[in-house]
Amino acid sequence: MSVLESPSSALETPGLASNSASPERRRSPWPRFLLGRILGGVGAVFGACTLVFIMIAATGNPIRLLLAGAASDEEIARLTAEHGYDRPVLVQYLVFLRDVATGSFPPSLRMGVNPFGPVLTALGNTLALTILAIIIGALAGLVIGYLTVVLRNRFVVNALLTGIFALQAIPSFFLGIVLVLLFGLILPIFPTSGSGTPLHLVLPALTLAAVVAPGIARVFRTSLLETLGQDHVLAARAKGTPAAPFLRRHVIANALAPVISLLGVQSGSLLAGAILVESVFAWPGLGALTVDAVTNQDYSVVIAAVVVIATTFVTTTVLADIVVAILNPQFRVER
Amino acid sequence: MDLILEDGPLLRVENLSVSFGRPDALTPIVHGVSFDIRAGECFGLVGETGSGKSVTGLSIAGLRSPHSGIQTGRVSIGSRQLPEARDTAAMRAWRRDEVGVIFQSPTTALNPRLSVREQLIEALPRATPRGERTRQARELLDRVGVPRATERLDAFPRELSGGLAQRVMIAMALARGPRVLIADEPTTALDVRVQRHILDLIDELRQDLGLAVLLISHDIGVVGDRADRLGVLRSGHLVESGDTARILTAPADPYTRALIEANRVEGAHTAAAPTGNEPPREPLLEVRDLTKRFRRAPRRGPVPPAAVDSVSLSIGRGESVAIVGESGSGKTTLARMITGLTAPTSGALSLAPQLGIAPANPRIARAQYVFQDQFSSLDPRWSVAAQLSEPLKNRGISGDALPGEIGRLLGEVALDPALATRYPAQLSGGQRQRVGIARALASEPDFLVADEPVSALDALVRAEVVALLDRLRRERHMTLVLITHDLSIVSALSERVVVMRDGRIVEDAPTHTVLTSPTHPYTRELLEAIPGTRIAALNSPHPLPER
Repeated sequence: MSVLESPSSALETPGLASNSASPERRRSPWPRFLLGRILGGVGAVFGACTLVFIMIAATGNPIRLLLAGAASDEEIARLTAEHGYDRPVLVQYLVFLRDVATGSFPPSLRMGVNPFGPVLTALGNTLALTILAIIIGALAGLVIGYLTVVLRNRFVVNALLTGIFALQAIPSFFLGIVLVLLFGLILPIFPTSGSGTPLHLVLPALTLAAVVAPGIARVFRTSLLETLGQDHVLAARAKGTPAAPFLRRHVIANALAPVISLLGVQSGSLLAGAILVESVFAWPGLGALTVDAVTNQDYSVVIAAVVVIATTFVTTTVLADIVVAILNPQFRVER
Repeated sequence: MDLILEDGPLLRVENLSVSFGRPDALTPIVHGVSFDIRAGECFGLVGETGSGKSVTGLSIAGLRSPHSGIQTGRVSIGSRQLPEARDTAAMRAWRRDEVGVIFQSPTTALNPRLSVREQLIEALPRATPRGERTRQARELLDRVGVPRATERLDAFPRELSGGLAQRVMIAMALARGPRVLIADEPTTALDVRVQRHILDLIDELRQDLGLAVLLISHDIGVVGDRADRLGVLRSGHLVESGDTARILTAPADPYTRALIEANRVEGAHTAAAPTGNEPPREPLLEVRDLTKRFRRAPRRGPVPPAAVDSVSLSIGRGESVAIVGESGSGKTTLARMITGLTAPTSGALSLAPQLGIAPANPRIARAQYVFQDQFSSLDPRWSVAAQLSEPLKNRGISGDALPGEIGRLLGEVALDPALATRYPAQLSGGQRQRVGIARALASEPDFLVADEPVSALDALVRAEVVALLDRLRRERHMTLVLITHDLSIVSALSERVVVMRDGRIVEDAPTHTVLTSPTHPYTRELLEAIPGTRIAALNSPHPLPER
């Protein structure tokens, strides 16, 4: 309670005076926080890679799985030795870790090259889609949430709330298909498949934004209503603060905190949602790449993709945590 | 500023009525309340929870939401009229220029996200340059007695103690030089000594600035000490109003009389002297050098001092002891260690052996806890019968014997046994606290620890619960440990007082001695800060000197 307490407060609370840290000695919480988050993130990526390795090792010799029945035993043994699958598991694990750290994965069976480059390209496409979806979804969610609180027309508010609820109940791939039909057949303004122009991003981004918006709208609505009921909002009104700064500084800014936390949690899992949407719109992202690789049993690509997805997921989550912390006054250090 | 006649009232409230709800289903809250306040005068408004006193204050301040219900009557300050609720610009100007408001809970009335500087600057005229406003903000903090104002400007609300936060709140209310100050329970959330400092500050500002002060409180002791005139509000009706001394000595309304009586009975200034022939008690609980040190919060400052620091204490069987202290004095931590809810860091604690049942954690069953907050200490999804049957089942009472035992317990705390089927939300505050006491009794404890058992209750209910605890203690010869920050209920309930400060015991003596001749200066200060001096003086044969 009393980080800033000082001898002068002895006037009222002598007990706290001895409890105090003088302002000069107040250390910034940032270095410790950042170090903790980054180390935690590195640990999570390491753990994810290890899990991938264990799952592959547990399914047996990949060469045998791939060529069973199609090649002679001698041939399989030769290929196994060539790819190093006959070495002790620990050696394989260390080699695997080295590959991951340097980004040099074994050549893809289909592409014939290190799949790291293509995976990164696909990641770029996925990130473009996800970030655009988050921006659209968050803005739409905030606006809808705000409207449901300030509008006084009960009918409109109920319509908005029902709409949000319905949107949340529709699976994104179904919404995607509906959009494809709508814009492909009836209203051909946006391309419904593939990539190439920025316009290709519109429909997949809208579909994915529909996943983001309802949650944001509902959390923001609840948070706004809660903030409006707080004493400090009444106190700010008592000061005669004009409407615009009153809403901005005392209501909206305060109500944003849980929304930002939610975005942080969602941004990670949205990567997973992107996979479905990408396949509906044939958007060349990580999702499509991974699904293809799994179908073709292209291990090298699967490994590269999973490692990249895990790293992206962890990075996004850590970044979101840091953004939440920046916006939290608890972390502000004296100017 | 209008020209005001020398003695004419500044704030006039005429026939103010407020109703809540939709236009087709209005619930009246305030019924035709009228009063006025002169410049430099303090008018006190007393009433229980739900009496409409806060709604009256908010209506005058122009802070009621324009969308909930309707408000009729006339409110004016000088020649200026309270504008129509629909006229938002005029209403904002009214709030900004005419009225300053102080709220009950200072820590939640400040925006946690903004520094003191930001919040003060916002209250000052926007046309003034920022640098000048910072200077004015610093002056305001100086004016309300915030030490080291320059540094405090950059503090966030969570870094301020309750008293400091309330001073900042007062500075904010004064920023635009209002003529009327509305203080809605300004000290209810504060410790008794801090309460005194804040009320002193309001008095001083009222005199220096000629403010008309509307002091709203549930505590007739507080209002009686400070107000020149007072009004008593009950169910939205002003049942009585007039000169404070006249009302305190000769209340016309029975309700006012009951309020004054409830306060006087609790008055700490009278306590029976020990007769000197009580038999020596066999010790029930022995505590030696008990210490509790909480781990410091991560990333925060140096190691804090021990919450409880080498406390030694002996409590006899059947004795009633009050542990008194302010927030942070360690009284609750001590109580929790005694009952086995918190493990001590070091020290010894022994409980006299006792016959009977031996459940999993013997100490918890032998000590029972009555909590301050009767809302959160009863499970909202359990009926009263269910709340009570759990400890009874632990004692091996079950089946057919249960309903009878539950009825007996409810009877013992003076509740209608028909309430057994109700849920906590369907009970009043006083009824809930009685259920809490019955639940504690259900375990047949050796001793009862009551942690601020009445501080969340209205005056009349509070007196009833105190009387109930006193009766139970006498009838059951029960050992009672009362934890409180408020010396005024001690005389009614306790034979002995232990005063704690900063985790240590500073005084431990019979109640009569502590209340009449305290040895420690801190105890004296606590005693002097108790509100209700005027009521006590008016009613006691030896009036206390004016302080």
